[in-house]
Amino acid sequence: MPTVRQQRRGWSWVCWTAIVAAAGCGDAGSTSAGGPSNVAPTQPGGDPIKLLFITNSNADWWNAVEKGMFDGGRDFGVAVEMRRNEGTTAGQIRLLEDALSLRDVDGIAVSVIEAEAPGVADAMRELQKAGKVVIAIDSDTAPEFADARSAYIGTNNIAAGIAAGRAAATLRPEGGKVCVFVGISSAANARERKLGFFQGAGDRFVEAETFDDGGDKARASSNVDTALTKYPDVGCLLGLWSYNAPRIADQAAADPARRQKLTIVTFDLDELAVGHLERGNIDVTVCQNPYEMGYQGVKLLKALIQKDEATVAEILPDGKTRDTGVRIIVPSADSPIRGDNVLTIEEMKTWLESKGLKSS
Amino acid sequence: MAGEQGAQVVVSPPPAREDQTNRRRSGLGLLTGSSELGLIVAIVAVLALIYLLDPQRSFFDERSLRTLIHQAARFGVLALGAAVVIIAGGIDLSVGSVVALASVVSAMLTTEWLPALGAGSATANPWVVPAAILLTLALGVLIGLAHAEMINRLRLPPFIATLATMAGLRSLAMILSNNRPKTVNVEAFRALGYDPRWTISIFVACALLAHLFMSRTVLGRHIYALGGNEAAARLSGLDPRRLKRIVYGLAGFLSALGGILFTGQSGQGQATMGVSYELFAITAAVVGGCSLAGGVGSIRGTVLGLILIQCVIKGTGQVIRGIDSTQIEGLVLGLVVVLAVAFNQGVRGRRE
Repeated sequence: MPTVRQQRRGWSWVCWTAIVAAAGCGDAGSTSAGGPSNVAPTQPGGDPIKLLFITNSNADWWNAVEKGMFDGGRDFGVAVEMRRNEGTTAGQIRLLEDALSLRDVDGIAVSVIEAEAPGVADAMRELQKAGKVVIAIDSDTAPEFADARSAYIGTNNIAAGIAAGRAAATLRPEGGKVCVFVGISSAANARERKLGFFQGAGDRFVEAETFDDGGDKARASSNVDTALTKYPDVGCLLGLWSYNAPRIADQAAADPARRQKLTIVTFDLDELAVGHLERGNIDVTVCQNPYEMGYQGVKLLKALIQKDEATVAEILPDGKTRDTGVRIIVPSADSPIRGDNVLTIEEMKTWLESKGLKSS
Repeated sequence: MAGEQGAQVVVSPPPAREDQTNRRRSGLGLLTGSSELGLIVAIVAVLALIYLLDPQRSFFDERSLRTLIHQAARFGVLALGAAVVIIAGGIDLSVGSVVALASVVSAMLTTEWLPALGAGSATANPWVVPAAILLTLALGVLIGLAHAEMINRLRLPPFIATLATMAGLRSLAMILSNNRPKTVNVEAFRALGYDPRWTISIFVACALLAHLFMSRTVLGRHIYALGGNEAAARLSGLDPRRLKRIVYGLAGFLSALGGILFTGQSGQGQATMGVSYELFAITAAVVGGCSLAGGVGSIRGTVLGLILIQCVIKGTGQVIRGIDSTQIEGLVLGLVVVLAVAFNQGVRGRRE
């Protein structure tokens, strides 16, 4: 009988939904960081301030941003939450659209997955229209979509790329072919780092090929294997995103004779890359300061929401951007790379421990 | 076999089970015995639960509901194709990959290929966007026809035929795009997937046409008959090969249309688009009452199943703090498929 069947289906749905909803209707994952008294400051309207960080990927690198975000939330007395995108443009648009429904969220920091994706910029503008403050963090929008965010906090990726390129030139004066590894090569930070690298490295370094993995770590490993097979004369392996570093080092270390002929330059300090640096499987890594991005992001969003112009001016010297700087990490003091911002991996580990971090 | 049909005695195809159900309805039955009543009750119950459990009521904001309906419309186009295939007794696992290929092809036609052929830029020549859309839809139909031929001529099970293209078409999209996103910042193109008025209108039109096709035409009844019992349908004088070409061609068309809509939303054609979208489409159809054994289901039910799933996914993400809808959707879809199929199997088992 159709009626009985449909009614049973309906009741099964009601029961199921009730179970799911009842199991998780609490505030289980909310990361309130309202300080010792747990009293968050309020907007002019009277509601406590809540901030949301939306990532471009789910890399370990974001753990350091999250730590800075939590510490910022505690120090500035606001509630914070991070939502990690699984690595697609559609996924990030979904997260931005979901944020429209979160009435208690006042400010959003977005690591823009595709600088030139109009859909991401449109979703950010929708949030602004809904009265929420939106900033870009880590990876910015393309210049034509700059109106979609109030400010950008992150690395000057061209300068970071130049630093990486100069380090490569120091380690390998003769130059050579470069294979580049990255999640999404059209992301703003990837493009800028690559551009900066070849500026800093000079004419002796030429690009052999750029391998995209789309955020898939397994593919990131197989890309390195493919590159080593496809380009027997490659001289330099360049990893643009944090998780590329251990994948490059894993593959290169598997063949010690080949490793001797390669210069490996990476960005950031993935947790898995720390050991590789200690063992010399990575020659140099240009490390951003994700902790600072998270911390300053919270401070800036709160100041923008509360229209605290003095704090905004302090964080944004030029009114729009904040460069959180880079450090250059080398395996040991024997490295020929020198400079004020150069640290050995041991020194970097000491700093990580002081912040309660395992990666940066 | 098609060649044997001339020797068969042509009789009327067996009536679809949905039609049998409709015949029994009358009077009060029209109000209480509607085949989709259970789904409507479930949707209302889910909305009531969300209302009770979300103290901010933000789910019911105008912006939130608009986003929900807009999202449902994009996935709905895919679900319609999946429903028709499932009713015909088949399955199409290539939906997500067709979305990806259509995304890349439509973007490249609009911004690179047609302008390179002398058509001019999409902003200067108003025919570029319609031409790109028509060519992409034609590609979708061709992919669907290829599925039908693999099933008809090579005698591949639909699962295997569409599994092969699921892998192959995404790879083709990667090769064509060289793994680069193809930006389509052309308003006439983007509006289809970005402007809710366009997207929802397209979905409603597709749903109405599919409903009329499946419930009011002889061809629709033949598709139900094919799904219910292919051997019986063949003995009744139907041509299963022709019907499969129509069904898979239609599904390919709708998947390509979905690819265009999703590309309009993001403003970029991408080979990574549409991963697991076949799961959304199949789940909506199954929850809407389509039996994976074929011959049972409806477009109305599929639309209601789609709405129910979208409400549960978004609502659960809204009610459970610290979890977003992209995290919960896989769990919801998985549970829903198991529950819906188990329920249908249980009911069918008791009947037998």
